[in-house]
Formats: sequence, C-alpha cells, structure tokens
Amino acid sequence: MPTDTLELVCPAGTPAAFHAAVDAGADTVYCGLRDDTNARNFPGLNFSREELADAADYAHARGVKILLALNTYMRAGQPEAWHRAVDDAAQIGIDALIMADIGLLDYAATHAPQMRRHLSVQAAASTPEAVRWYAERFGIQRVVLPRVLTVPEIAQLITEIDIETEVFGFGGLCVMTEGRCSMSSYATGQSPNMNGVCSPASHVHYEERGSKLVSKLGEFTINSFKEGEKAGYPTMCKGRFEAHGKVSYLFEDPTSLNVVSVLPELIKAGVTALKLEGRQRGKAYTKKVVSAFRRALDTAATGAVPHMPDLSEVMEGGKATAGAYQKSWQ
Amino acid sequence: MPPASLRAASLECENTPPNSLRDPPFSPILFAGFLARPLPLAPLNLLLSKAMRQMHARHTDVFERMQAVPNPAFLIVPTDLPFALVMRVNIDKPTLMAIRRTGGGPIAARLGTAATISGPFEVLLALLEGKIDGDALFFTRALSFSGDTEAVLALRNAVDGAEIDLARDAAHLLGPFARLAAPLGGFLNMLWRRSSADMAAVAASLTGGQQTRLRAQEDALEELTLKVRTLTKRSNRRQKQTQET
Repeated sequence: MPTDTLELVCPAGTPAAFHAAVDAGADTVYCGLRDDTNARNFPGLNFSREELADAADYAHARGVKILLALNTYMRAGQPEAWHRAVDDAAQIGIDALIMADIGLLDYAATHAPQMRRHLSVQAAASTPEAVRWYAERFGIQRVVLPRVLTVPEIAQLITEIDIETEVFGFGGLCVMTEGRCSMSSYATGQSPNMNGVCSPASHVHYEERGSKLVSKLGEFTINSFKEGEKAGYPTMCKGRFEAHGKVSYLFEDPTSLNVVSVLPELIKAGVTALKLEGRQRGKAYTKKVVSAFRRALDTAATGAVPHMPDLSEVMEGGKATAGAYQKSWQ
Repeated sequence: MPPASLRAASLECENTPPNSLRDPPFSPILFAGFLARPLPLAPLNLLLSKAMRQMHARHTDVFERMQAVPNPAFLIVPTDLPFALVMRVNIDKPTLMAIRRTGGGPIAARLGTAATISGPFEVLLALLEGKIDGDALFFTRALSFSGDTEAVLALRNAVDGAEIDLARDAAHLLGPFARLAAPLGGFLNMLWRRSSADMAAVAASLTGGQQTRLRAQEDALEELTLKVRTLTKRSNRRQKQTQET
C-alpha cells in the first residue's frame, strides 16, 4: 500500500557514523560485523559484537531500527562465521538481517524466525518470479532491488509481489548483475561476493607521475587523473581504458546515484524504503547525506517537489545521475 | 622496527611533499612554523608522547581497529610546518614523535613506516576529528598519501570511528589546569580567526593583479577552444562530403 513517504535506510561503518546517521534523521541504520560476512569488509571498518549491541541500544532508545548486513556468500564447508553472526544478531535484538545466500536465509528462517529477513541486492532478484520464490521459500519480508530497473518497472513489480521493496537512493553505482560480478576477482584473486570487498585496499596503489595521479588495482592501471581533475577509488567497472585508439570510461562513468529528482514517483510506485549507500565512507559523509535526504523526504511527504541538495563534494566524480530509474537507453 | 639510530629526536625527513601539495597554504600556521623552526623539538616530543598516551587511554578502539594492520606506522607530513610526525599506533606501545623536515633523501623506508600522509596541518586536524570527508579530501588532492593503501584506509576508518574531540582531549591533557582550557581555547580560536582574515587580505592584495590577468587568459582560452572545436567540426564535415562524392 503506497504511503506518503519512504523509510530512510542509512549506512554506518563505525559507531561514530552510526550515531551521526541516527542523529541526522535516519529511520533505519544498517551495518556489518568486522569480518567477511558482509560486503564492505575494509580494514578498520565495521562493528565488534559489543559495538553492535551498543548501537542497537542507541537506535532503539530513539525509535530507530538497526539492520545487519550478512550479504556475502558462505564459504563451502565453513559456514560457522555466518551462523554465529545470525545467532548473535538474534541475541542482540537486531531488527532485520540482510542476506543473499540461500543457505544462510534457510538457517536464519529456521534458527531465528522472529527476526525479519531482507533479501540483499547481492541476490540480484529483479523479477516477480524470483522475489516470490524467496518469499515463499524463506519468508523474506523485504527485497532490496538491483539498480537496473526503471520506475515504471518497479511499479509493475510491486503489483506482482506481496512483500516490501527497498531501492537505492544515493551513492556508488554498480552496473553489473550484482552478486555475480567477477571483475575484481579477476584483477585481485579476491571475490567481492565471498571475501566481502570489491577492489580490496591491499591491491590498490596510487602513484604520482608528473602532475598526474595514477590509480592501479593489482597489475592493472585503472585511471590517470590530470592536475585539478577529481580522482576516484579504482574499481574495474569505473576504469578509463584505451580501446580502438580512444581513451574512455568503457563500462561506466564514475558518477554517484542521486534519486531526489524521482522521489515523488518512487513514493507513488509504492516503494517502502530508500537505501543510501556508503558504509565505507566517513561520518562527515553520513551526516551530510542523511541530513539532505531527511529534508528531501520530509518535503516530498508534503506533496512538494524536493529540492536537489548539493552533495557534489561527497559524490564520486562530483557528478550525479538518476541511473536506471530514468533510463534513456535499452 | 627501524634501527635505534633512527629513533632519536634528531631525525630528519625529506622536504618533498607530493606534487599536488608542493605549495603549502598561505595560513597563520605557515608563519607559526617559520617562527618555530629554530626551537628544539624535545619539549614538543614530550608533549606529543603525553598526547599519544592519553589518546591510547581515551580512544582504545582506534588501536583495536588497527590490530589487523601488520605495520601500523605512519609518517605524517603537515605541508605547512617545518617538521613531520612519526606515528606508531601499535596497541601495546604507541608512539608519536616529531622530526625535522630539512632535506635529505627518502626516509620512509628507513623509518620503517608503512605509508606517508601529507596535507595542510588544519586539514589533518579536521580529519582527525572526522569533521571532513577523508575520501573527498584525497580525491580533490587536498590530501595525499603514498605507500600501503590498506594501512592508510585502516587508519582513516579507525580515527573516523573514534569520535575524537581535540578540545576535550586537550583539556584532559592540561590535568589540574583543565579549567583554563575553555578560555585558552577561546583565545586561540579568536587569534586564529583574526590572523586568517588578515592573511587572506594580504594574499588578495599580493595576487589580485595576477588573478585578474588569469581570468582574462581563461576567457581567451575558452574562446580559442570554441573556435578550434567549430573548425574541427567543419573540417570533419568537409572531409566526409569529399569522401561521399
């Protein structure tokens, strides 16, 4: 049933970012544990069990929900870390788990049935048949939709399923079929879907060559930035390569998703929740982006068109796009 | 761990920040650095040691988060000060020490640091408190690093997650004189604001003429770029027409 607003689901990579998100107006905050059970397994990031319990207390005391991302795929024969995470989350009082692995979904449905289960974007479920299968088999209450659907496609999908939908609203874009991309694995030998990080920092290098800044991932040169040009973190899909004598972004421009311009349409389509990306970013990013989207959603709830906030400072490449939501290509 | 001879306070490091940060900002800190250059580093190092011990006691989580990094040692280069900082964030024995920046060859390898982080002192302090986005700083090259990306990322995440408040921590550092912290902080803040405004006026006066000329050159360049683009298009069209006929 469409409402007049969307639940604002915000990222937190550390307790400080968690507090910033809650204080800036998040309805829900999602985070991960300090291991490869989540897809933002960067060094120095994420929560210990104690920090997670403190964060849950902080959120619940302010009427905010806390979600735990367990969105990597379990290693064959070694499911213990993922199982323990489900058990601990249940004990801490986490409101919902975000999962993609069918084995883990089954474990959570069996061992912690009281906890809500959300289907991660890593499962890449974008058809009514796929979503219904996950709902019937594992009792998922919400699906996080891949960033490949237009607003009309989302609206149509919602009429054909009986569970909540969550869509991405801001942050890094992924043009691949999520959960199935092997480009980073090819370059580094580490899988984003298993080890929990796309372009692991241990394989990232920056070099200054004259006035240029060159970024590398493993043995691959990903980009070369001129003086004054905004640089970026090197991922294969956002690399600038030479092909047929022309240098260009072959797969995707380094641009941030920003859906403020289509918020009224997403609300009208019956979407339940809006997810902001960026657990790997600092608390200054969290505060700025969450505050901007809180204001935009509050404006949209009154029926007015929300003002596009200036978030260029924290955007990848300093540019924004509404991505596939306003798809002008086939 | 570097040899003992390199752990003395008389260390020096190369005076060469990365390309993007060769020109330090024209700020009161730059001038304070000139004034501080002849002073001995020993008193500063005593203060830094005490500050690091306090950081260890008050923000243990920073050091816990760094445990996964095999060598959590960094050379921090404030580009507007005449010294650099060697920081080791080992959980058992963290250290912070100033060394002079007075020439010499690359020293990071000899110091045994995993990475070098360079930026204006004010930016480094804001980063420590998580007031500004570290990614944005690096991507706009207001900040630069070289060496182990994983170690730098871990440090950024660990510090950002710690909710460090320098004013509060400095008050603790003053011990029995903590009640002086607020008026002292207010005075320094006022001094900083006034001197920044004065220096901005000086900078505007010195570079005003150049800025005007630069803007005129930019306009001329833009006009030329447009002309070249038009001529290229016209030439391509003619080439195509010739090929078709």
